[in-house]
Amino acid sequence: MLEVRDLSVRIGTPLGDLSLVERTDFILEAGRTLGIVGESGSGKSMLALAIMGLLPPSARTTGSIKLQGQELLSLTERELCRIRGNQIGMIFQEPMTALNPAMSIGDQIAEGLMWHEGLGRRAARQRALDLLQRVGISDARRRLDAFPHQLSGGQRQRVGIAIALACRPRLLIADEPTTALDVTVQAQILDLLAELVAEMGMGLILISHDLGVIAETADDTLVMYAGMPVEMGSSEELFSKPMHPYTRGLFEAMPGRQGPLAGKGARLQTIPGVVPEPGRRPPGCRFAGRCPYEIAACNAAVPEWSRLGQSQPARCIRLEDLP
Amino acid sequence: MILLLLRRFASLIVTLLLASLAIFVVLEVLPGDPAAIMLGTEAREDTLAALRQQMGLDRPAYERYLDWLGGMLTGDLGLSMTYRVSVSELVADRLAVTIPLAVMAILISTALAVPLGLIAAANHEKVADRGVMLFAQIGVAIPNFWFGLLLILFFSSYLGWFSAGGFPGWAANPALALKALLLPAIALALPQAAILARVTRSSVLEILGEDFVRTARAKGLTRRVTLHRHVLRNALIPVVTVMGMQFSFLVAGAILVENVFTLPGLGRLLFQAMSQRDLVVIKDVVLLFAALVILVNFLVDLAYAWLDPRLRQRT
Repeated sequence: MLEVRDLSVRIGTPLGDLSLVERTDFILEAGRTLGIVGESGSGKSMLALAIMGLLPPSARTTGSIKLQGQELLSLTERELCRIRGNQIGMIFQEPMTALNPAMSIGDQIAEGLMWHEGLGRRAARQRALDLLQRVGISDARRRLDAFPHQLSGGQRQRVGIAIALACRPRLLIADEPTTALDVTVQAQILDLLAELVAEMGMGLILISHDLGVIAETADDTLVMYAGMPVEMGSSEELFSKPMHPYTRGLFEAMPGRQGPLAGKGARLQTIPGVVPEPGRRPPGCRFAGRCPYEIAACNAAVPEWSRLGQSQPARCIRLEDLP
Repeated sequence: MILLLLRRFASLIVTLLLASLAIFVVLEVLPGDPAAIMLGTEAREDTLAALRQQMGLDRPAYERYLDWLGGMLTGDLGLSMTYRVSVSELVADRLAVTIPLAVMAILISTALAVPLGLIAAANHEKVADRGVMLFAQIGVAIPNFWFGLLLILFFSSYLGWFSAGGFPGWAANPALALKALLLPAIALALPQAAILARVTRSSVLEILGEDFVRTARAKGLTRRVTLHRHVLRNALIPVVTVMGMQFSFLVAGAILVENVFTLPGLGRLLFQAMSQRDLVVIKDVVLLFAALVILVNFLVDLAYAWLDPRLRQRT
């Protein structure tokens, strides 16, 4: 349903062109959930905005993004406006600031319906009410005229979901939808998302830096590092046997999870260093410099995808030599 | 909402009382005996005393203050010393010039500044933006009375489209009266519009960076529709604040501009009253100006509540 091929995003700055996302390919089928995981600065959100066509004007996106066979990158802004909110919905990280403080939540949900489906005010309001009930807002009829500041963070995120789903999109992109929420509320929101994906048969891209969230929700997982996917596969495979040294590092850095090296009472591991900024990335494998298994050849060229036997693919030249 | 209204209204009354007290005290402390000014330096001491008694100047200050306040409430503003007519009448005629002038100036300034600010922000760092910023730079730098003189030179003397000043009155021909106010209103509006356009621009730019704007775009709204439905209302709060503050500058500007255009307005009345030391008129007109400014700021507070639902609730 969604097919991304050789996607790259470059942004013009006073210091020259910087590459934010590169060599990104994946396919998402309807009714499935793709988790995209990586540290801050790995290009996850840029990837999401590139699919939405909402990158700043100084950014250039190349490659191919096909939604149900239609190439999104060749569409004009006007055509994209007919797809955004209609065929692709998006949920954002900060429920506190993602809603217009001066507009009732009913109007904010109804707006997309009136815009895309040409519904009248009354009909759109009725649909907004149904949506509010569907996303689990209690006393929905009264809440319709409430303003965002009168709702809790969890409720606001539910409203965000209602807005994104108003026109029953084929694809839903959720960019860190639970990061700003309390842990108990996080689980409720993830459950709601999973339910809705199953019910509406849409494809979901779930972006998170939290492996736990991805493990619970995603059918497939794409691991991004410094603007590039480094490993991808079914969540089951990937979580039982991570291949890329970066993915392994992520697992070891997770409290309460058994990494390949963790024993009882072992110290929580960290990955030394930080994700290199765009423009300061190593020429070969992007993880070079932080990788414990680095050799000279790692810096020669960007590694192609490789597999070890039947394993999921990873961009690493040393898969066979890893412990 | 009702509670907010009542509270703002109460604070309006208190501010007005404080303003009246300040005006009264300042004029009380100032040197100069109104009776002596009216009768001239040659006046005899017993005539002076008689006039002081007639004007009530021999009574204690607090009594006169309360009298003045009482008069204000009943619409009796006392007698002008130079014009020898009731100040209420004098002021009513002048208000009929100054209030329409101020309203026109605000309308022109807003009609110019808000669209310009929006256009500049929507075309950030492009030609349109630079054009608006240049206009704002020039507008701020030009004093309104001098701009008024330029307008007279060009539109009245050179093109002959407008009379160079004066006011025909509303009774004869309202259209002509409006026309007479147009140039002075533009002169008053320009510097205000320049500042307001800058405020609108920066406010819109700030709101454009907000998350909810991205949410609106993710719904599929075009840039233009997002700007109108989501950005503008939120961006107006600082704009309205500045408009409220500008009103006091507008009143001060009216004093100068009414003189340039020889309009029989409140500003000109105040100017004349000052040069003639007509303390009764000064006291009343200054309080009136203060009341107008306070009233406008009351309206600004109401506008906040209308613009921002969060403020409606916090009462």
